[in-house]
Amino acid sequence: MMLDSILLRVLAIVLGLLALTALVVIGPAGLHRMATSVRPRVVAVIPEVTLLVGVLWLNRFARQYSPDVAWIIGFEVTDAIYRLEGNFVGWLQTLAIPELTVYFSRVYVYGYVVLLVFPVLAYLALDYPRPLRTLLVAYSLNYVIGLVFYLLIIAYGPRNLVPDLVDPLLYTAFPEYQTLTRQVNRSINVFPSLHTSLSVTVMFMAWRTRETYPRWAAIALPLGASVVISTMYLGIHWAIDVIAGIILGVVAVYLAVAIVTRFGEQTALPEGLFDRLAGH
Amino acid sequence: MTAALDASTVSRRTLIASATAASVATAGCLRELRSVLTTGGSEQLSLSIAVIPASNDPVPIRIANRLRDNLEAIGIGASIELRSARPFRVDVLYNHDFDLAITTHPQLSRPDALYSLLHSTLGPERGWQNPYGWDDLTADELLETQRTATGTEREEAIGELLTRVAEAHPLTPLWFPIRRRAVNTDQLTGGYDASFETPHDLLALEQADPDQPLSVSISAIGPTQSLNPLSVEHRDRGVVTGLLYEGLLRRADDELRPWLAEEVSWMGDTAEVTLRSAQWHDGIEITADDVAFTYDLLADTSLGSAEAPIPAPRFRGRRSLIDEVTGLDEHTIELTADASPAVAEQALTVPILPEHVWHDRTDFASVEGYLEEETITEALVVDNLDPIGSGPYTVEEVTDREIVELTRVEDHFVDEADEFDDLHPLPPRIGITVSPNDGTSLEWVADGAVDLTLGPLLSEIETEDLDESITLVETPSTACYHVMYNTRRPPLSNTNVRRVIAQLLDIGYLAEEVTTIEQSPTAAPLSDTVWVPEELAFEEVHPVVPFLGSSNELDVDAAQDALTDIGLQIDDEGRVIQPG
Repeated sequence: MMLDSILLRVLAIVLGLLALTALVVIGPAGLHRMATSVRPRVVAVIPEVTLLVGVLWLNRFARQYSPDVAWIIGFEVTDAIYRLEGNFVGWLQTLAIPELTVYFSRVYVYGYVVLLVFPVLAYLALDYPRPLRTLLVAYSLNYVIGLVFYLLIIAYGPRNLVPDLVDPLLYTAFPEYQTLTRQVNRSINVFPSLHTSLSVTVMFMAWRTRETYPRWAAIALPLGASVVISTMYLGIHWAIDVIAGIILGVVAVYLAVAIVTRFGEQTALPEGLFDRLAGH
Repeated sequence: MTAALDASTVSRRTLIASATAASVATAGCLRELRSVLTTGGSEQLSLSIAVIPASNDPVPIRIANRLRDNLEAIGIGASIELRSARPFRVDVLYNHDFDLAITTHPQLSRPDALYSLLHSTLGPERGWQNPYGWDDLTADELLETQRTATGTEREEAIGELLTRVAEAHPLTPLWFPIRRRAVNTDQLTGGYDASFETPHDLLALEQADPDQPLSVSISAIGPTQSLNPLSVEHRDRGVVTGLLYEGLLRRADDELRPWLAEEVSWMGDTAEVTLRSAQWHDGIEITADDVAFTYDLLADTSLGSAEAPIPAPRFRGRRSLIDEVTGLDEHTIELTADASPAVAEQALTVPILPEHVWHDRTDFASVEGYLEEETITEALVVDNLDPIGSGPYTVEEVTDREIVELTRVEDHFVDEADEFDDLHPLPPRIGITVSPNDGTSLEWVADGAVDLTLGPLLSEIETEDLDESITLVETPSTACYHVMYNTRRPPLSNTNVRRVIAQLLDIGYLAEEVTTIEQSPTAAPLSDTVWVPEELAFEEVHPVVPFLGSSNELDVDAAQDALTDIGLQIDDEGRVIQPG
C-alpha cells in the first residue's frame, strides 16, 4: 500500500541514476558492445550469481527469524559500545545543517543503491569476468559474515540509546523512507554496519579497477565515503559499527580475490554447458 | 485464509511460538554468563536498567539515562539494557531477569488491579503479576480487604494500601500520561477523543462515510505476529484481539456493558449469567461450556495435566476474583465470586475462548517436539493468527510487521440487537497498519490513508506545520510510567535502598522535560486520584521519597550520606561497595 509508492519512486530515480552513470563511466561504445554480447557475459558468472542469490534469499529468511534467535543466544551490547565510543555521533550531529541532512539522506538511500548496483553493470561490460565474479563473491561474504554477527551481537544505534544527544535525522527529515528501510534493516543489527561494509567493498573494487574505469573510481570513492559518513550523521550507526564495517568490507574483498583465484576454475561452468547456455 | 498466511504460519509457529519456551529454558544460565562477562567480577555495586529503545518510546530511555547518570555520580555502577518490546516482556515479566526497569504498565485504573500487581503470592508468577517479587503482609491484607469491603471501609483500605506502597516502595510511579493522537476529521466525525484503551472505543467511532473501511495506525508489531489474547510477550492492552474475542461484559467508557451475556444478575456473591444466542467465527454455537472452559483454562492452561497449575498471566487478577463457574444449562452460567459484586464483575470481561479450538492447546509448548518446556503450555505461546473468536470482526489477512486486516462477521448480534444502536453502523473492514514513525503516521493521516493514529504520537511534533486535515487530540490514559525494582535481587530487596534510588529522580522535572506533553507526576499507582489520600498528593516534591537535590541537580553528598545512613559502604574512590 504505502510501501509501493515509495518503492516505485526510489526505483525510478535509481534507474535514472544508473543510466546516467552508465553513459558516463561505460560510455555508449562500451554499452553497445555489452548489449550485443550480453548472454555469454551473464552466463560466465552464473555460479557467482547463484551464490549471491542464494545468500540474499537466506538473508531474507534470516531477517524474519534471526532477531528471535539472537535474543536467545546473543549479547546486547549497545551500552558497552556507547561507553567505549562516547558521544562521537552526537558531536558529529552538532555539525548538522539542513542541506547536509538532505544530501546525506539521499546518499543513504539512492546513493547506496546506485553504488551497489552500478559496478555489477560496469564489470559486466568488461571482456573478462574476473572483477564481476570477485565483486559478487565479496557481496555474498559481506552478507554471510554480517549474518553471523547479527545472530551473536544485538546492538541498537545511537538514536535508540541516547535520543537526547542523537536525532534520527533521516526519519525526521524524510519519515516515509523508514517504510522502505524497515524492509531490510532491523534496529538490533547495527553492528557491523552493512551499509559501510558493502560500500567499502565497492570502493575497494573500484580502486582495484581504477585503470579500466578511472571515472568509476572518481565517483565511487567519494560516493562510498559519503554513504559511510551518512550512517553516522543520520544517527543510525555508531563509529564502532563503521570501523567494523570497514574491516568487513576490506576483508570480504581479500577473501573474494583469494577464493576466485583458488577456486575460479573449478567453480566456472564446464565449457560444454557454457557454450550451450551462451548460445554458441 | 490466504495461502500466504498458511505458508508463513507453519514455519513461524515453529520458531516464534516456541522462542518464549526456549528463552525461559536458557535464560538462567545465560544470565549468569552475561553478568560474569559484563561485570568482570567487580566489587562495586552495579545495577542494570532495562528499557525499550527510543524508537519505541523516547520517554523511558530518557529517564533511564538520567537515572544511570545519577547512580554513577553517587558511586553505583549502572548500565542500560535495551530490549525491544517483546524481549523486554520476556526478560522482565516472564523471566524476572532484571534489576531495575522503566516502562509503562498498560492499565492501572481500578484499585483491584493492584491485587495482581502487588500481592505477594503472585511473585513467582509471570506477566504483570507482582513482577517486583514484593513481599509485604500488610499490603496483602489491605489488598484482600478491598476486595470484599464496600463504602468507606474500602476507601480507607485503599488509601492505606497506597500509602504503604509509597513507603515500602516496590515501584516508583511516575505519571499517567496524556496521550496525543492525530485524526483525520474529514473521515471521522465523532468518538475520536476517546482513550482507546478498550476495543469498544474503536467500535464507537463515527465515520463520515460508513461504507469506507476504518484505517488506523499502530507502532507495535505485536498484533502482526500473534493474535493470541493470552500471550504475555505480544500483548499490551489487547485492543486488537478485543475486536476478535469478547467477554460476557465489555468495558465501555466507565461502564460494563452486557455483551456475550444478555443478562447478569447478582445475588450476594453469586452471579447468574444468561448467554445471548451467538456463534463462533466457524459457525458453531457459543454455549455455557465455552464459558466454563474459558475460566478453567485461565486458571490452569494445562487443565490439570501439569504438576502445578499454569495459569494464564493475562487476566490473572480478574480470574482470581472468581471461585467457581458452573454451567446450569446450554445458555446459563453461575459464577461465585471471592469479592464484592462491584469488584467481581470485572471478572466478567475476560475474553471467552472456544473450547473446541483451545482444548487441544493444553500440552506443554515445544519446538516440533523437542526442547519441551514444562512450565509453558501451547495455549500461552501459540500465535493464533487464524483466530476463531466471537467478535464482530474476523481476520482477513495478516502481514508480518505491516498490517492486520479485519473484516466484518455477518449476522453478529451487535448488528441485530437494538441495544447496540449507538455503535451502528460499524465499518465493513478495519485495517491496522504498523507505522515506522510519527512523521509517517502524520503523512498517512493527512492523505486520508489512515483515519486515526491508534498508537499515540510519542515524539515531538511541530504543531505549526501540521497539515490542515489533521486534528490533534489529547486524552488521559491509565497507563502508568514507573520504575520497577526487582526486589528478589539484593540489595534491591532492601526497602531503604529502593527508596534512596527513587530519590535520585527529580520526577517533577522529568514530567516536564523528558515528555513531549507536560505530564502530572504521581506518587500512587492508580490513575483515578479519587482513591489517593491527601498526604500522598504530589505537590512540588514527592511526599515520601523527595528528590535529593533541586531542578534536576543531584546533591551527590546528600545522596551518598543517605546510602551510608542505611548501611552501605563507600570506598576511597567514591564507589559504593556491593553489600555482602
